[in-house]
Amino acid sequence: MSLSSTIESSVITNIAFWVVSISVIVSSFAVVQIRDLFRAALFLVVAFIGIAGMFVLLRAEFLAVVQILIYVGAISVLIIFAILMTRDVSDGNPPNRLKIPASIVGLIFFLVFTFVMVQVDWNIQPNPDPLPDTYQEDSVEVYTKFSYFHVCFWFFCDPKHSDSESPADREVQDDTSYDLDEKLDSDRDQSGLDKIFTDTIPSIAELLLRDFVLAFELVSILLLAAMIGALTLIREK
Amino acid sequence: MNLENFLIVSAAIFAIGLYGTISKRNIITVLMSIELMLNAVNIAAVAFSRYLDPSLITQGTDVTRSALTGQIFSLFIVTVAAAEIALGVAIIITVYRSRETVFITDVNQMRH
Repeated sequence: MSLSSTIESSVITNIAFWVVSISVIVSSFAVVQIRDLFRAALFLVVAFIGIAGMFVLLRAEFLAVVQILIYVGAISVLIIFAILMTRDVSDGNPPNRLKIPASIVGLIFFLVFTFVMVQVDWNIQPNPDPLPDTYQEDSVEVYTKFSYFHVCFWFFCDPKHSDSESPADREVQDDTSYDLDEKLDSDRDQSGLDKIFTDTIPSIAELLLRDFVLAFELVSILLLAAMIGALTLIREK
Repeated sequence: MNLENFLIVSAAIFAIGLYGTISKRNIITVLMSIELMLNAVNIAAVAFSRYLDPSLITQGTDVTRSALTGQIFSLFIVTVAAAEIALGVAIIITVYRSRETVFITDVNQMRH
């Protein structure tokens, strides 16, 4: 566990963070500055992929996959479709007369937020990864131990799975039938939050279908209404 | 790589999206800038849920819930963004059909 923390806060992840963040900022600046709209949409795709990389760095692998699927796969296709539908009038990407006030507003926003974020004393976890021994509580329930996303994304950065596992744990992982008590027993040797961020997908599913189930159903109604509304809007009279 | 780094990147993307939303004439660029702002909010939510100490919020009762609430928020934001972009593209195509323009400065018949 200490090995994983040293590697995760090592030079490699720092370099990855800087590369990803600089590419995201540069490409999102290109989205609003490039005159050719089609190229702006392609830079938007680059920004979305970089944001998925930031989710991976934040240990939100499921959100990274969702980001790739929805933003890169669906939303950018819709935007490119809209650009191609309206291409014959789009002579570039001109600013309106609010260009200078808008840049001032954006700059002030960025400076104020940066100032606030640096000044505020956040309640950071004492050691975000791994977590201290105070989190070793039996009330934390994480049901499954093995995640393919985790293996895919953290194989090179997180040697925990390959090094520090006993053969008994590996037997539990390979067992495809969900024996809950066995899994809980095998989970108790790891601390709570480290376990959660090792394998977020079962916890997200549980939260979505138990604590946030009303919002989940409302969002599905919203999607249905948006689909019907879009169909009604573009229907030929 | 700590919380402030992610928050500053998020603020930068949000500021760029804000600038694009206010200052551009093409409505497709405005839509893309709104998407950038939503993504910046997603980064901030996930970074908060990753780095902040959940035991101070929940008094140690349900650590899973508070440690993953930011990711749930981001999921809902992604869903709402998908619905918004579908409706936005439908509105763009409708306006383009009736008025032959995609510039928001030309769609001003409610002012006259």
